[in-house]
Amino acid sequence: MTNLMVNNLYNVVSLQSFTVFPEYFITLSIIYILIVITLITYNSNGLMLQKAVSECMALTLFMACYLILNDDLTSASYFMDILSFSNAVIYDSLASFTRFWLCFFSGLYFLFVADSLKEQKLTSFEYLIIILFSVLGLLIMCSSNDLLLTYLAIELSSLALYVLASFKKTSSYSVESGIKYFITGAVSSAFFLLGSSFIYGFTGSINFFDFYRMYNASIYDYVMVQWFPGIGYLPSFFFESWLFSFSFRASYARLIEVYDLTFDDLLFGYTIDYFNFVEIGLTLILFSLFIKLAAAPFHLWSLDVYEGSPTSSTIFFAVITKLSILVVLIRLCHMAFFEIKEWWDFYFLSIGVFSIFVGSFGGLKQRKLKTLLAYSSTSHMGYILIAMGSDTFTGVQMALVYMIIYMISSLCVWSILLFLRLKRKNITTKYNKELGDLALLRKSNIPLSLALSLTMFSIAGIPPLVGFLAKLGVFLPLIINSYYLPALASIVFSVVSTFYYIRLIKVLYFENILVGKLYYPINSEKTIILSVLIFALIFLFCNPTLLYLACYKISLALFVDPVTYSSLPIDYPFNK
Amino acid sequence: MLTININYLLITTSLVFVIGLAGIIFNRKNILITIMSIELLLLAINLNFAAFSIYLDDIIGQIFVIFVLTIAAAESAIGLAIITVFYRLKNSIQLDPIKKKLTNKI
Repeated sequence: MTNLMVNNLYNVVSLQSFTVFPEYFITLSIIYILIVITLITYNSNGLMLQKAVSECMALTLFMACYLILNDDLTSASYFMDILSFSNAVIYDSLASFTRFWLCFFSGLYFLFVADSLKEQKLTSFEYLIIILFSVLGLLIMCSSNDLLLTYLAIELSSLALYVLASFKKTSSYSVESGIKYFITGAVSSAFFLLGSSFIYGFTGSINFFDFYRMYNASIYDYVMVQWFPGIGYLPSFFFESWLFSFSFRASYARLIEVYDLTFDDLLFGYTIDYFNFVEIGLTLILFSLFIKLAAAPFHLWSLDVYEGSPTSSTIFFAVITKLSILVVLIRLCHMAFFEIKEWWDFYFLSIGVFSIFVGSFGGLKQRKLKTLLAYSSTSHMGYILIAMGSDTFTGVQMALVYMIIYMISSLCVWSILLFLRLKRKNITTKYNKELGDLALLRKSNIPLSLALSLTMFSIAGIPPLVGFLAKLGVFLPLIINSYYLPALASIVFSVVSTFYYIRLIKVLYFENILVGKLYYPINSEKTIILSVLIFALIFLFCNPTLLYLACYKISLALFVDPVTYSSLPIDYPFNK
Repeated sequence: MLTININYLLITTSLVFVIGLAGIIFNRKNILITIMSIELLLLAINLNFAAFSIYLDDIIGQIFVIFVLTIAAAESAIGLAIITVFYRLKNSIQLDPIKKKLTNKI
């Protein structure tokens, strides 16, 4: 009897389903919530369910956090990568870590956003369900090991984001920002697809590990290369002996020798370097991901979209979505195409420094708060990109640490922005806040203004808060790897960007005006969450080892050969 | 057996892609044309994938094509929905109002 049951269970739930268990859970709960709420609101028009629905979704996401934490695969994933769905899904420590933080922060986001929806007149419950769909896409993006799955996850999340940006149908700003987001997002995913088609055409595979094996040319991989041009399958398991467990360095000349046999008559008979096309494809994919991250030459959409769309959507764009794209970048560059780091680290460094430049100088004259924070997030993305461009594994570690700290601090700032409800008799249509609107916050709500100024100090990088350690950690791998010029330039620009963070504190505390805008107090639930976040900013400064060690383990596990489980030949200086 | 050199197919797809990109960049008036250009981009990529799939004798490219077709349909549906909302607000689908307001803002 039990044997039968187990057998039946085995037929229904195969082992590979456990690698995407949180995704299954969230999908099922989306469908369940959708059906139940549609039935509840079927006969009663105008029933407002936002608060209940958003708390239900926060509960779903926190339960997903619990699922990720209590997974037995999570502990296994620190020393081995678990591949499933024909190598399309990877379950390693990076995936479980980022999925946990994604679920955690989006759960907090749902708790924050519950009350403000009525304020913003976003009364339909579909809004929250669309956000949960987007979270699902971001979760899948974190564990995808395949160009196709990455594309599908990006589209699942960004199709939801276009709707979120233009959700307020009565506001022309919102609809315009939706159109802008749609066009830039569609063009960027078209570039992603073009790049992946080039990579597919010239490598014959869409799997990240295959790219890794192709470039990391040991003798084992030499066999894989000979399989590709159509000569025939050579059984690779013969070659997995101890002799080949240490991988040799990629020798470009040898690989090109092999490939020239088949590709030399491509493009009108000119002998071209076959690697160029893969590199061009990688560049196109990187540019499309930079558009999604709103890094500097591609940041122009973010200013209008962040300003125009409803504030509750803007928080999601600015805080939650960036983590998964960072994970895709890490998987592409630090796992699959690590051997051509000379090709991509230039883009990371130049675009990173340029985003810091634009983010710090663009915000100087800005008086609208949301646009100011958009510039600020552009400069933060710049710090993350230069940390990754140092192509050491310390760089990956520091980029992850910076991302988590960025998410904490920007969730604080944006939620404070969301909590401020104007005290006014006649309701005006103006929702967006300017810098001067905060001038009387110190008088009306002392702890809130203190929290805002602490967060601003943290973002600016003033020592007793964790933002200082985050920025220090970014510059460290750059200097280890002797990229002195980008480090120097970004330090100088970060000093400039300190100006507008401190100016906000000056507006908060040192303006002698008597007439200004007053705000309602915020309720206790939000106060508790906000104070926990602020406490995390101070606590992580006192004890940063917590975060650093987790990210250290993850970035170490990234640099393990997925075929032979031996560590990669790391020839760069680290931990001297 | 008639075989076509892959170079001609690649040139065709890159031409279609460039036409679509030019349609997005140079069209400053109509949102519908922008959506059509986005479709053109995705079609060019589909053709690219199909050509590579035949060339490599590998099925993955064709699977990719089918997924991209589906996503393209969903994407254009959402774009058309946003255009409908825009039309309700402005009574036109010209992009000029956006530009005018932008210049006023600056």
